[in-house]
Amino acid sequence: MINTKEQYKQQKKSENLLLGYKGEITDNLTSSLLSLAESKLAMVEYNSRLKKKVFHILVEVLQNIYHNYNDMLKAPDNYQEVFLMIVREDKSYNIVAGNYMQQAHIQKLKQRIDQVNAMDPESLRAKYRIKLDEGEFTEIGRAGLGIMDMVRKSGQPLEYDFLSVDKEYSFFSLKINIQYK
Amino acid sequence: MEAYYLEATPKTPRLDFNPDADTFVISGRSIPENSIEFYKPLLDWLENYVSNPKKSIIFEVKLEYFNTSSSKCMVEIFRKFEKIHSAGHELTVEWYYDEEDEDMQESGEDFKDIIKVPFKMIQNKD
Repeated sequence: MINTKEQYKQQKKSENLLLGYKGEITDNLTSSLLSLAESKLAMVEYNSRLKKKVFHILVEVLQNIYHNYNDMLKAPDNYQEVFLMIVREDKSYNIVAGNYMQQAHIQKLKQRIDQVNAMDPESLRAKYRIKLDEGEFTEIGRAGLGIMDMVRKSGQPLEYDFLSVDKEYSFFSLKINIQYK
Repeated sequence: MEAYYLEATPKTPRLDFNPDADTFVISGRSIPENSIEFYKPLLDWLENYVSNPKKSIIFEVKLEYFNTSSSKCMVEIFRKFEKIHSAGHELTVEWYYDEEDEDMQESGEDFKDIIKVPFKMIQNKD
């Protein structure tokens, strides 16, 4: 069970933490975080394929959070806090993210992740192509592709959990492990 | 008809669409937060171009990477080219990727599978 807030506390002083962010998110901030992540990765990672993979998945994670952030602007201030970490381990990277969301959205998201997690690479590819071919541009369509993309590029299921914080909101934790191949 | 040209930025690709040229190019990276907003002017431009295209066109895709919301817009761009192709014009998509970049290769294969125009996968030479 992943809990991003706990991870953040644990990793805060760790030298494995390549990048850690806790706070609100805006268009400008996503850009700054991405360019910071990119220069940090450039400093420590010589495997260009892996570097690109980590960055690419980070883009999807961050933009998924950003696109769903509109819903959160009506929420209490402390629920507008977003967590993001890149943790460098011996043989892999972890992207760990956390954000609050309305409980009304949880069921759908959970279903979608479980579905994608359960697919083998072949059926995931087929499903991705069908979604892409449909071409319709909805928030749901975008989120769907994003999750599939994360699983395809990392080659592993997403680790996640929801923690209820009050009647209306939950905290969503997400962890993606990207390994050297 | 005027050319549609945009310089690359850290988040958006270079777009080079000159109606008098034989080759259109998209290169760089495409990770804007709002892809529809970014690609709408190009899609409008292509919609006009479709009614009076050149006999033979190559569309070069030289992307480093792109986010999933851009990929939806890419499909829309390819759809315009399908129209040109089905009207009897010669049109080829050339998808460039680095040898070690299996993700960009895979993305190319995805589009190749769903887009109904001649689609060449080309490995970059060092």
